[in-house]
Amino acid sequence: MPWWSVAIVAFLIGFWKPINGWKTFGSGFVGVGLLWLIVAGYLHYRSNGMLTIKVGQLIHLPSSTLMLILTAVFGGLVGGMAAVTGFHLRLLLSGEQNSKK
Amino acid sequence: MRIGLVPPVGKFLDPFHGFWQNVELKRLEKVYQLDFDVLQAPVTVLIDDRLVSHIFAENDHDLYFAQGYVTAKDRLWQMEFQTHVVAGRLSEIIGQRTVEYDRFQRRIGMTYAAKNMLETVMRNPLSREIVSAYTVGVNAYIDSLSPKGYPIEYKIFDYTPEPWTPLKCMLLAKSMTWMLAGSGTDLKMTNTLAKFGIDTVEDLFPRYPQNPDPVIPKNTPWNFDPLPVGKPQKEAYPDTMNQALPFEPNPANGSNNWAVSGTKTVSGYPILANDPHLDLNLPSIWYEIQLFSPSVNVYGVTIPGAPSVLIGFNQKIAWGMTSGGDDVTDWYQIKFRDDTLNEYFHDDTWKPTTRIIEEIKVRGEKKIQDTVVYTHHGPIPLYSDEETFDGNIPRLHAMRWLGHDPSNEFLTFYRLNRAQDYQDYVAALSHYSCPAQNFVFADTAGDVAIWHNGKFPLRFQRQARFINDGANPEHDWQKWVPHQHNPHIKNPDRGFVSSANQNPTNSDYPYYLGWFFPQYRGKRINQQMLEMDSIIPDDFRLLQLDNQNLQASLIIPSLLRFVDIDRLTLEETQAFKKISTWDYVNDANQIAPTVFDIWQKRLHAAIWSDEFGGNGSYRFPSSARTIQLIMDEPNAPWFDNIHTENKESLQQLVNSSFKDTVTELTKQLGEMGNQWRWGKFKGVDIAHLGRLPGFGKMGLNVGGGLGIVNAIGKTSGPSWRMIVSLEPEVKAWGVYPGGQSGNPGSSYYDNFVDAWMEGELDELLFLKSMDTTHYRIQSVIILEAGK
Repeated sequence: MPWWSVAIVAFLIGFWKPINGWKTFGSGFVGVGLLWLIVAGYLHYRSNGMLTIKVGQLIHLPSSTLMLILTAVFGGLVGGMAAVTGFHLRLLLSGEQNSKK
Repeated sequence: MRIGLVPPVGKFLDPFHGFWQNVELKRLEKVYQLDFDVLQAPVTVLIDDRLVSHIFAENDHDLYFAQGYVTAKDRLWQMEFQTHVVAGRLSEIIGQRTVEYDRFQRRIGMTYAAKNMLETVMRNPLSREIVSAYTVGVNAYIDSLSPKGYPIEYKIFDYTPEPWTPLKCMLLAKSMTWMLAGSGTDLKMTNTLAKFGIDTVEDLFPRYPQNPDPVIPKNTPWNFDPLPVGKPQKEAYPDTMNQALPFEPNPANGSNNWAVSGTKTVSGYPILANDPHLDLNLPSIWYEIQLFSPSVNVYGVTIPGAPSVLIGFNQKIAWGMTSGGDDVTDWYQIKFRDDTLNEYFHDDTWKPTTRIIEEIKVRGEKKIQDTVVYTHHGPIPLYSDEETFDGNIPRLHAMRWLGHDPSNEFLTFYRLNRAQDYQDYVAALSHYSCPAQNFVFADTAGDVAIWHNGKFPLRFQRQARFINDGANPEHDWQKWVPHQHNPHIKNPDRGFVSSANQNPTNSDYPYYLGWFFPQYRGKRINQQMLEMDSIIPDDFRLLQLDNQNLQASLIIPSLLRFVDIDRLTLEETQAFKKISTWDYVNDANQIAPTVFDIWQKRLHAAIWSDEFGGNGSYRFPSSARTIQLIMDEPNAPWFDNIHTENKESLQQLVNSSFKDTVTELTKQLGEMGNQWRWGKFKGVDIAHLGRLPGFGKMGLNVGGGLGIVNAIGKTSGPSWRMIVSLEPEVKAWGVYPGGQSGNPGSSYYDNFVDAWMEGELDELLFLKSMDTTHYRIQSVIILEAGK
C-alpha cells in the first residue's frame, strides 16, 4: 500500500457520509491527523525520540516535538483535503442527479 | 518525486511507511526463522549484547552467504552508497552538483581497476566462492525488503537499493586502495626539482629521518641477495610547471600496531594491539563479526561489503594492519601525435591509445558522456584544456598506479582468517598486492612478527620520485621486488614488533619504497615498549591512549629560547606561560596543545610559503625536516622572507608567528579560558557518511592529535582499537567510534562512541562453539535451507 492510501480512505468517507464542506474537512483532518499523531507519538516515546531528534535537526526544526506536530498536521491536511474532495464529488454527482429530475 | 534535495514530504512523514518506520524499538529476545533455497544446510546466527553477529554454518558457502545477509541487514545503505562514491555514480542520487566528482572517479579508472581485480578474483575457486556467496546473501536481504523497510537514507534521498554484485566488493577494495595508496607528490617534486635543483631536493626532502626508528629495527641484516635496480641510459627527464592542487598523503590516514612476545608479559603469551586511523563517520567504516564453519573460527572487523575478516584473530593467531604508505603511483609525460589523442609515442613508434566511454547518469537531468583515454601506462585523468580536479594531477600525463593491476587481496584474508601459525601467515601475505600494509602478527605458540607487505615495483629513485618520460621504455615499471625481500622480522631480540607508518627500514634497504610519515608515533611507541615489562593487556589500552606530543617536546625548547619575553602583551604572556610549563601531553583539558597547534602551523607557513607557496605547485618540506632545520641550522637562508628587502631571522619568525597565534585564538575564541582547552577547540566530528545534519556526533571533547599515539584529529582517528591476548584461550577487547547498526533510528547506531571517548574497551565475545544459551546472546536468527 502506498503512503497516499490513507487519502483514498478519507476521500471515500467524505463521499459516503457528506455533512458540509468545513465539517467534512474537519473530520478528515482530525481522523487522519490523529491517527498519524498516535502512531508517530508511540514510536517517538517508545524510542525516547532517538530518531525524531535526528530528523528534526536534519530539517532544521528547533525541537523534536515539532516533528510530531508537523507529521500530524500534514496527515491532517491530506485527510481533510481528501475528505473534502470526496464530499464535493458527491455534491457534483448528486447535483447532476438533481438537475436531471 | 524529489524537489532539489528535499525528500518527498508525504512519503517521508507517513508513520506507516516513511521515516517513522525506521525507529527500531529495543530488541527483544526472540528467534527468527527464514528460508533460503540457496543454502546447503541451516545456518545459525547468534546476536550478542553489542549487536555483533556470530555466524555458525556447516560449510563456507553458507557462511559467506550469511555474512552478506547480516551485513546488509545492519549496513545496507552504507554498503551501496560507498560503492556509488567509488564508481563515480553519486550524481545518480544527488544530481548535478556531484558531476565533477563522478567524472574524476571515472578518469582515474576506479571501475577499470575494480574490473581488473574481479577477473583475477573470479578465476580463483576460493575467492570466487566467498565473493559469490556473499553477493547472493546481500541480495537475499535486499529482496526481502519492502519500501517501508528501506534504510532511512533511501527515504531522505528518495531512491531504492539496486542488486549487489561481485564488482561492488571490488570497488570497496579499490576505494581503500585509493585512500591509502593513491596519492603522490611526483608533480610537485618535479616542479621543486626544476626550481631549486637536486641538492635542495635531497637536503629538504630526505628519504630517511634523522635518528631513524624504522619498523624493522636498524642494523637488522637482510637475508637475501638484492636484485639489481636498473638505471636508464637516456637521462632526459621532463621539466614541468603544471598547476596543481594539493593532494598529498593524508597524515590522518595512519595507524599503530604492535605485538609483544611472552617474555615481556605476565601471562607468558604474546599480546597484540592495533588501531587503524581513518576518517571517522557514522555508520562506521568497520563492522564486527564472528565467522564459524568447519574450516574457520575467526573474529574481527571488516568493511561492510567485504567478505571475511580484515583485522582480527582466531583460536591460534591474531593480526593487525597499519598502512604501509609506499609510493605506488607514478606519472608519465605523454607525447600525443595530435589533439585526437589517438596515438602516443613510445619506444620509437606511435602506439594507439584505447578509450573507455563513461556514462554519468545525473538525477533529473540528461546523462553525460565522458571519454577516458588509456595508454599502456594507464589512464590520462586530465586533458589540456580542463580545470584541474582536486588532485595533484598534471595535464596530458598518464597515471601508472598499482591499484589498476590485477590482484586478489581477498585470498590473503581468506587464508589469514584460517592461519594457524607463522608459515600460514606468510603464505597468506604472499597473495597481497595493494595497498601495502604493515601486517603485525602474534600466535599462541609464542611467535611475534611484522611484515611490511605489498607488491612493489623495482624502480630507480629518479623514476619513483619525479615525473617520467612516457616515451622512454626504460622509464616503464619493469620488475618487482620479490615477496621474500619485503622488509620483515620475526621474534626480534627486543621482544616486540611495532609500526606506525614510519619508514619501514633504515637506509641500508636496497630498494626504493617511498616517502613515509614522520616517525613521532613510532618513536614514542618503541620508547614505551622498551621500558615496559610484565605487561598485561590493559597496559596496551593505556598505550593506545597515550597523548604524549613528541613533536612538541622536540621543538618547543628550541623555540622558547627565541621568544622575546619583554615584548609580549598580557595575553601573549599568558599563552607563553602555558606553553613554557607544558608537560607536552595533549590531554583534552589542556590549553597549551591548542596554542602549539596553531603556532607550529603558522611558523611552518612563515618559513616555507615564500619559497614553496603560491599556486600550490611545490611540495612543502615536512615538519620533521623543519624541526631539524630550526635546531641544527638556525641561520639557514630559508628563514628569510624572499619577498621583503630586509633579511628576516628565525627569531623574528618565531616571535611574529607566536604573536599571530595568540591574536588569532583570541579573535576566534575570546580571552583565554575554557574555549581554549584542546578538546573543546579541536571538537572531534564523527559526521554522517552522507553528511546529513543531525545524523552525526559532533564537537566531541577528546584529547590526542595527529602525530600522537592516540591520533584523534578533528575528523579522523583510531577507527578500531583492538587488543588480543594470545593465551591458550584467546581473549580480546575492542571498540570503534560507532555502532553495529547503520540505522540512525536504532540505539545500536552510535552506542560505542561513549566508551571510545572514555578510552574503554569492550570484551569481545569469541565463542568456541554454537553456544545458543550464552548469557550475552540476545537473539537468534535461523536461516533454513530450502526444502
